[in-house]
Amino acid sequence: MRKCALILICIFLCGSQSLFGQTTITGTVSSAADGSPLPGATVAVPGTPVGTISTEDGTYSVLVPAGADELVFQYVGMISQTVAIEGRTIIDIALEVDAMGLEELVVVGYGTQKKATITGSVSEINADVITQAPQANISNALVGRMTGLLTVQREGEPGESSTTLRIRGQGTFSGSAEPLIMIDGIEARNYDNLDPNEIENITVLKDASATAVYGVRGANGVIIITTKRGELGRPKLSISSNVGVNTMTALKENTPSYPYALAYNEALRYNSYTTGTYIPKFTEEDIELFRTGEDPIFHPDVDWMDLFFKKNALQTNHNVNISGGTKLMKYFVSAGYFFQEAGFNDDLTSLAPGFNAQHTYKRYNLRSNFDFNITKRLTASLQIAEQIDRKKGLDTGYLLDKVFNMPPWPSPGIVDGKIVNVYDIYGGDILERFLGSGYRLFLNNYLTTSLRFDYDLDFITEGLKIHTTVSYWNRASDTKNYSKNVQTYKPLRLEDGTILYASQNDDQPFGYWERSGKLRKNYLEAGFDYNRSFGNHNVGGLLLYNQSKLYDPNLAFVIPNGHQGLVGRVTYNYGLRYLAEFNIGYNGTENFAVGQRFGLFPAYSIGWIVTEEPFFPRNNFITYLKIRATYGEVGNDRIGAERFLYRPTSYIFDEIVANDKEAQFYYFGIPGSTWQQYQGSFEGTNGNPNLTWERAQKTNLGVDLTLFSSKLNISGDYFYEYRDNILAFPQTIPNILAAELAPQNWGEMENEGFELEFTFRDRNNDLSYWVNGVYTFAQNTVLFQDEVQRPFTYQNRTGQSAGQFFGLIAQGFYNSWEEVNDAYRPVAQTQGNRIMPGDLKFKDVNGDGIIDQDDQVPLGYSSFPEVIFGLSFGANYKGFGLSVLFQGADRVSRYAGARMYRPFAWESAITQYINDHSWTPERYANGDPIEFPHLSADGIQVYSYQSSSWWIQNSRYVRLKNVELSYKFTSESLLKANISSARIFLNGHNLLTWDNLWPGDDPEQFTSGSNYGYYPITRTVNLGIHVSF
Amino acid sequence: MFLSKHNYMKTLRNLILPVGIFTVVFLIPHSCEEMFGDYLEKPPGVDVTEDTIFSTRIIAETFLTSIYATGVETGYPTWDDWNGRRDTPFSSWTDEGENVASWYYSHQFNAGGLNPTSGSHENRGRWRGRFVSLRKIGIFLDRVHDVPDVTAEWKDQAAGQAIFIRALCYFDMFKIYGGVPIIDKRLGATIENPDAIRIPRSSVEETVNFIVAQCDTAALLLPDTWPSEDVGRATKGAALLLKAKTLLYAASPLSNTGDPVVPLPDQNELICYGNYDVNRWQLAADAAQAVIDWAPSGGKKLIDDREVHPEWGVVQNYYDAWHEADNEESIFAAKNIGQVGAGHTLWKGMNNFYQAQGGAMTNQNWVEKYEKRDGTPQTWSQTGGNNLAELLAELDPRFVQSVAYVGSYWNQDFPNLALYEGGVADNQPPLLGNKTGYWQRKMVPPEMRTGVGGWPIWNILRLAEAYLIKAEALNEAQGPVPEAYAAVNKIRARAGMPDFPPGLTQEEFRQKIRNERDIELYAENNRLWDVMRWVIADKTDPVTGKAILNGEIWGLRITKQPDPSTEYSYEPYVFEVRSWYPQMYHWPFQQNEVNKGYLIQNPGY
Repeated sequence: MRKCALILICIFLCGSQSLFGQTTITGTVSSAADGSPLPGATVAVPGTPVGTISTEDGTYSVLVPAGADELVFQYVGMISQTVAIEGRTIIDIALEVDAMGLEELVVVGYGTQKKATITGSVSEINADVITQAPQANISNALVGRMTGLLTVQREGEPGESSTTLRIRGQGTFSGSAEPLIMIDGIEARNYDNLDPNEIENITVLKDASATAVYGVRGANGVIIITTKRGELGRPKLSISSNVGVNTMTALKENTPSYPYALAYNEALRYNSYTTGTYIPKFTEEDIELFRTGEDPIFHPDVDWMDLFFKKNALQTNHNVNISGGTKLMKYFVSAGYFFQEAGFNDDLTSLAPGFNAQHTYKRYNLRSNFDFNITKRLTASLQIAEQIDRKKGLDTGYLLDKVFNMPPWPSPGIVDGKIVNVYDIYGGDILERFLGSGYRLFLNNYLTTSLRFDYDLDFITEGLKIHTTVSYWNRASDTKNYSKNVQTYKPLRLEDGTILYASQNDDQPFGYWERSGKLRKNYLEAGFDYNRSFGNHNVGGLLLYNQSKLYDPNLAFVIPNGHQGLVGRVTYNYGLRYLAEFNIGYNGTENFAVGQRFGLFPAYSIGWIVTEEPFFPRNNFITYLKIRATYGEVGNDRIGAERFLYRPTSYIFDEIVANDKEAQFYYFGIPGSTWQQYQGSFEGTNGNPNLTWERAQKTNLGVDLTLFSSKLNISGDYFYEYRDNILAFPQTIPNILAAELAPQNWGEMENEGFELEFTFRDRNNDLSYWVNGVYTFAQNTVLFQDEVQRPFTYQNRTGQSAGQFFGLIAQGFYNSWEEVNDAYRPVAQTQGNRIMPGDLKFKDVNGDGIIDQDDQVPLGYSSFPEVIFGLSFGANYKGFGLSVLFQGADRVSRYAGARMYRPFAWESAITQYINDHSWTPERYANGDPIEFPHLSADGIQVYSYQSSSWWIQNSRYVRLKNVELSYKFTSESLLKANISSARIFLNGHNLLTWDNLWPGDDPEQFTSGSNYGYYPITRTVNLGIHVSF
Repeated sequence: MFLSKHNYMKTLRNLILPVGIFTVVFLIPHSCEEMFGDYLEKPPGVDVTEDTIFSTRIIAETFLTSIYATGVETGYPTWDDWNGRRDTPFSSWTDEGENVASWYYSHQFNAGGLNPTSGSHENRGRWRGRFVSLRKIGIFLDRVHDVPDVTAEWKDQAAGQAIFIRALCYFDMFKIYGGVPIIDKRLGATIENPDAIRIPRSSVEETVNFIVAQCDTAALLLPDTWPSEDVGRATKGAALLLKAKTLLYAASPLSNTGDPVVPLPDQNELICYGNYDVNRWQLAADAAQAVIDWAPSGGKKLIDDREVHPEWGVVQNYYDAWHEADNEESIFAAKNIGQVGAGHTLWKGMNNFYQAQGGAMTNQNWVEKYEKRDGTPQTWSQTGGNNLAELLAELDPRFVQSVAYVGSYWNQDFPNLALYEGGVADNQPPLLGNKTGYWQRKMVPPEMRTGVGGWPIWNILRLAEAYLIKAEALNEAQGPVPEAYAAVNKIRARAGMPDFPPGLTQEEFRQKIRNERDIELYAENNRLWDVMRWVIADKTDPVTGKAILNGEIWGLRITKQPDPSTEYSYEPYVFEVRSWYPQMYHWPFQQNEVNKGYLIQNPGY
C-alpha cells in the first residue's frame, strides 16, 4: 500500500502547471427567453481550474489566464454555450432553455449523469409533486407518479400508513423484495419520515445497469432521495403551513340490535340442518325489546363504530427553511413538524381522566445541509439531519377488530359516564380495552450526519476528482407504556324495576414501564471520479471503495452487520451519439461464509441517439430518439432468514434464545417442596455452508422519444429478470426427519414486464398545461421452489406468480332442496356433506364427485398488483394552478375471508349490506340480488366460506388520488413587504375511488385477519400556504 | 512536465489533503493484502455443539429435559409449537362434554370435520411434533454413552427415560393412526438423499411390537422410584403400565381383527392385525398384573384412605387421585407447565369462572352413565322432572368429584352454583353460555382463584387403570372370572360403590367394565380412544341408550323452584347433533405429508 501512495505522489508532482499573464473579462449572463438575468451561472475557462459564478444581477468577472481562447457558460436547465474570447474583455451571453433536457443532470448511483447520455432505466420526480400530497409518508406521495414503481397502501393508521413499494414488482418469493434506499448517497434504513419540504428529488434506479454499482444489494432496485441544498444568492426564507382533515375512505355499517337478533336466530335455524337442533339465541321477548328499544340497558343497541370514530381527524404540517449561499458557503436549513391524529372519538378518553388514549403521530424534522468552498479545488459538504418520531397508540389492530366486529347488543356502552358491561362475549368490553390497556408512546430519534470532501485533481489530469465521505447514523428508541384499569359497572335490575350499577372493579393508578434501545451505523466511502472529452470522445469513470457497519452499542454480543465493496463505472460516448457504459459492483457481506462473501456484479449497456446521426433529418416532428439496451447481474443479500446460517449445526442452550424460540422447559419435583423448573437444550438449525446471495440477471430495452418540438416526451421500457439462488426452505422432506433444515439457495423466479410514460407540455399565452401518463406492468413466475407435488398439476404453486390465490370455483348457489338432494351433486368433503339451499355451488374440477382441496385452482392474481398506472394533468393560468392525479391498479386480487364477511362466526356483528344481500328462500323467490350465502352462526357451517372465486375478488381500482388547486400572489405590495412569493393551495388525497367491491371496502386495504383489524385508509383534505421571503 | 521551483510550495499544499484522505481511508484501517479481509466480522464461533451437550452430566440433562418438554403431551388445552393447538380439553371431543366457545376445534371434529386438509386435528395428531421428540431421543441415545462424568447407572436411567418417552410417542401415534413409520435412530439431516428418509409405515403388529419392546427395555433400565427432586421422571412402573395399555389397545376390536371398519385394500396390516387372536387379551391382562405386582416396590397404591370432603359429603379418594399432584396412585404425569394463574390461556376453554372464554361442560349423555350409589341405574325422565337435586345427590360419589352442578360447591367464590335459567348469585355471572346444566370439575383445580394459581399436572398413567385393564382384558380372554371381578371391585370399593353383581355373562361384564372405565377415567383423555378401539363411536351407549359420538347430544334446561324449595326442575333437550363417519376410526395423515410420497393414507380419505 505504501508503494501505491508513493506512485500517487509522483503523479501529483508531475501534474502541476504554470500560469503567466492574465486578463479580466466581465459581462452579463441572461436568459434568451425573456432576457432576465441568471444569477449563479457558471463561467469557466476550459482546460483550466479558472472560473466564477455570476452574481445576483447576472454579472460576472473572471480572470482569464493568457493563452485561453474560450469561455464556457453553464446554467441549470439551459443549454451550455462555449464562446470564443477573440480578445474581448466584455462578453454578454443569453442562454437558451434546454427544452430537450440535454444538459439536465440525473442522479444515478454514486453520482450524476447527463440525462441525454443515460443508458440505464431511471425515473425521477421533483419536490413539487411530493409536497402536493398531504401525506405523512414520502412513499404515499410517489404512487402513480413514476414508472416502474408498483405500490400498495395497506392501512391508514397514524405512523403506520406507509405504502409498500416494489420496483418493477416482486423478483423474489422468499427474500426481502424491498428496494435499497439511499439518501444523499448513503444507505438509509428509513426514509418515510423525511419532511417532504427537505426533498429536492427522488430517483428510482430500475435495471441492472443502474443498480450494479450496489452489487449485492441492488437486485430489488434503488430509490435515491436527494435533499435540498443552498444556492448562491441572498438568504431565502420559506415558510409553509398546512392544516388538513383525514376521514376514512371506507367503513362498513353494522346492523342495529333488532335486525341482528332476527338474523342471528335465522342463522341458527339454518345451522340446525347441520347441528340437528334449533335453539334460538334471542327469545321473542328479547327481539321485541330490541325492536322497541324500551330496555336500553339490558337490551341495548350500540353502533360501536359511531361511538368510537369521529368524522374528521386533524393533520397539520409546518415547515420553515432558509437557504442561500455565498462564494464560500451554501446552506439549507430546515425545520418541520407534522402531526396526525387517529379518528378515535375524543369524548371517549374523557372517561378516564388524565389519560388520553387517542392515537397520534408527531414528527419533528431538522436538517442542515452545508457546502463549503474551502479552496478552489477543495469543497466540503456537511449534513446533519434529525427525525424525531412520536407515535402514541396501542394494539390498534386488536382494538379495531373489536370495534368492527362487536355486535350491537351485549353492552349499552356508556351510561351516565360509566362504562357498563352486561354480557361477556369474546374479547370483553372494548371500551375497557381501549382505555384500560392504556397507550404506548413510541419514540424514535434518528440522527444522520455525513461529511464529504471533494478534491479536484485536475493538476494530475483534467477531469479527475477524488472524494471521501464519512457518515454516522444513530437511532435511539424509547417506549413508554401507560396502562390503567378503568372502572366498569354491571347493571342489576331491582325488583321495583330500577337499575343499580354495581362497580366491577376499582379505579387503579397508572401502570407504567419503559424500555429503550439504540442502533448505530458507520459508513465510509472514498473514490475517484473522472470526466473528460477528447474531441468527440467523451469518457467518464468512477472507482470507489465503501464500507458500512451497523451495530448495537448496548448489546456487544450482537455481531454487527457489515458491508464492504468496490464500485466501478466506465462511460463512453462518441459525439453524444453512440453510448456505452460498464458498471461493476464488487462487494460482500458478513452474512455468508468466508470465501463466499464477495461477489462480482457487472452490467453492460449501450445506447444510440438516432437523432444525432448526420443522416437523420433535422425536423420539428422527431426531435430526439434514443434506443437503449442493458444487461447485468445484481444481488440481494437480504434473503429473509436468520444470519449465519452457514455455520455448522449449533445447539441451543441459552435461556434467552430458548425462551424466545419454543417451550423447552419441564418441571420435576413435588409441588410446594422440590418442584423446580428445568431448562432444556435442543438442536438448532442445521447449517448450510454454501449459503449465498440471490442473483438477479436483468435485461432492459428502452426507447426515449421526443416529438413536436419537444412538447411530447415518450419513454418505454421492456424488462426481463431471471433470479436464482433464492433462499427457500426444503418442502419435500418428510416431517419424520424432524430436523430444522437451513434454507437453500435453490429458488428460481422470473419477472417480466414493461413501462410506458408520456408527458406533454405546452404553453398558450398565459396558459401553460401538461399531461403525464405512467403505466407499469410486471408479472412474476415462480420457476422452482422444491414444492411437494400435489395430485393434480393445476394445483402446483410453481409456475404461478408468487402469492397467487387458489380456491374452488364457485358457480352460484344451490337454490332448492331438489338441487341439494340431487344424487349426482358432488359430495362436499367438509361439514359431512350436509349442505343446504343458500350454500355455494362449487365446481368439481377433477371430476371425482367430491369437492375438496383437489378442486382448488389458481384464481385471480396475487394481492400485490401487477399493473399500476397514473394519469396526471395540470394547468397554470396567471396565478392559478391546478394539478390532478388519477391512479389505479389492475391484475390484483383480494381474499374477503375476514370475519366481517362471515357474520356471527365468532359471535361477531353483521354488516347491513350482508344482512340485506345474503341468500334467503324469499330473496331467491323474489329474484332479489343475492351476494352472500345463507347466514350461519358460530362458525358451524363452513362449507360456503372455503377459499373460492366467490371470496377472491378482483380488486382493481381507479382513484382520484390527488388534486391540488393553488393561487400564487404576485402583487407589487407583496414585493414591498419583502415577500418574493406567496401561494395558497387546497389539496386532497384519496378523494374518490372506483372499484368492484362491496360497500365499505377499500381495494388496497388488507382484509383483516381473524383477530386483527386494519385501520382504514384515509382521505385527506388539506389547506396550505407557502410564503417565501 | 517538471516541477518548477516557485510553485513547489503550492503543489505541496495541494497534495496534503488528497494524500491525507488516501492515507486515512486505505492505510490506517487496512494494509493492501488484507484490504477486504478483516473489516467484515469473523463468523461467530459455534459455541454449543452436540459435543458440548454431551460433555457433562449437567448439560446432557438439559437435553433430556427437552425430550420431556416436547415428548410428553399434557392434556390441558395448550397452544405451542410442540404440543400443538388444543384449545379445548379432550372431553369436549367426546360425549363426555362440550365447550361453550363456539370457535374451538372440538366443534369441527364433532361435526365430523376430520379430513386430511383441515389443520384442526393435525394439532392433536402432532405428526411433526412427535417426530421432533423422536429425533431428540435418537440423538440422545446416540450420545448418552459419551457423557464422561456419570455412572453407568445414570446412563441406564437416562437412556431408560428417553426410551420410555419414545414408547409414549409411538403409543399416541398408534392410537391415532394405526401403523406408523418406525424410526429408532437419528436420521441423517440432508437434503441430498431424500429417499433415505422416506420411511414407510410399519404394520400395526410391528408398531405394537416396537412399543412393547421399548417398554420392556425401559422397564429394565428405569428405577422404581426417584428422589423427591426428580419426581416426575419415568419409572419402571410407567413403562410397565404403558406396555399394558398398548397391549390392551392392540387386543381391542379395532386392531385385533381381520375385518377393519373401512378396509385398506392389500394394506390392511397398516390398520389392523389381520386376524383375531384371543391370546392378545391375555397378554394385556398379564401386563396389567405386572403393574399391580410392581406397585408396592414403587410405593404406589390405590388411594383409599381419605377424609370426607366438607362440602360434598363424600370420601374424596377419587378427587385426590386426580387432584393431588404426585399422589400414591399417579404413575406418570405431564409436568410441562408450572403453576399458572386463573387468567392463563391454559385455562381458556376449561375454567368457566375466571376466564369466561369458554368453559368445559359435561353432557347429560354422560351424566346418565353414572349409577346410583347402590349400583343400580338412575332413572331419568326424558320429558323432565322436578327432582333434579335429588337425582344428582343419589349418584355415584365420583359424580360430584367430577362434575359441578346446580347448587353444588365450587370454591369459596362460588359456593352454590346458580346453574339455572336466570340464576344470579354471589357476583357470579349468568349461565356463561352453559348449555348442558353442568360444568366439568375434574382436572380444573378448584383452589384456583384470581391471584391464586393452579398446578396443571396432567396424569397420563395412574394405577387405577392397571386394574381396569386387567378386568377388561381378563373378561375378554377368559370370561368374567373371579380375578376380573376382584380387579374392578377394588376400583369400585375405594370409590364407595358396591361390587359388580355376581353371575354376569361375558357380554354383561363387558358392558359394565366399559362403563366403569368410562366413569373412573372421565375427562382423562381416554374416552375418544376407547370408543375407537371398541369400534362403538357411531353406536349408542348401552347404559344410557344415548348417542356416543354420532347423534343427539343432550343438555338440561334447569329452573329453580320457588323458595323455600331447594329443588330444581329439569327438562332434557338436544343441543347438538354430532356426526361420525366410519373412516374416522383411523385419523388421516395431512395431505401435504402424504403428497411427499412416503405415507400410505388411511382408508376413506
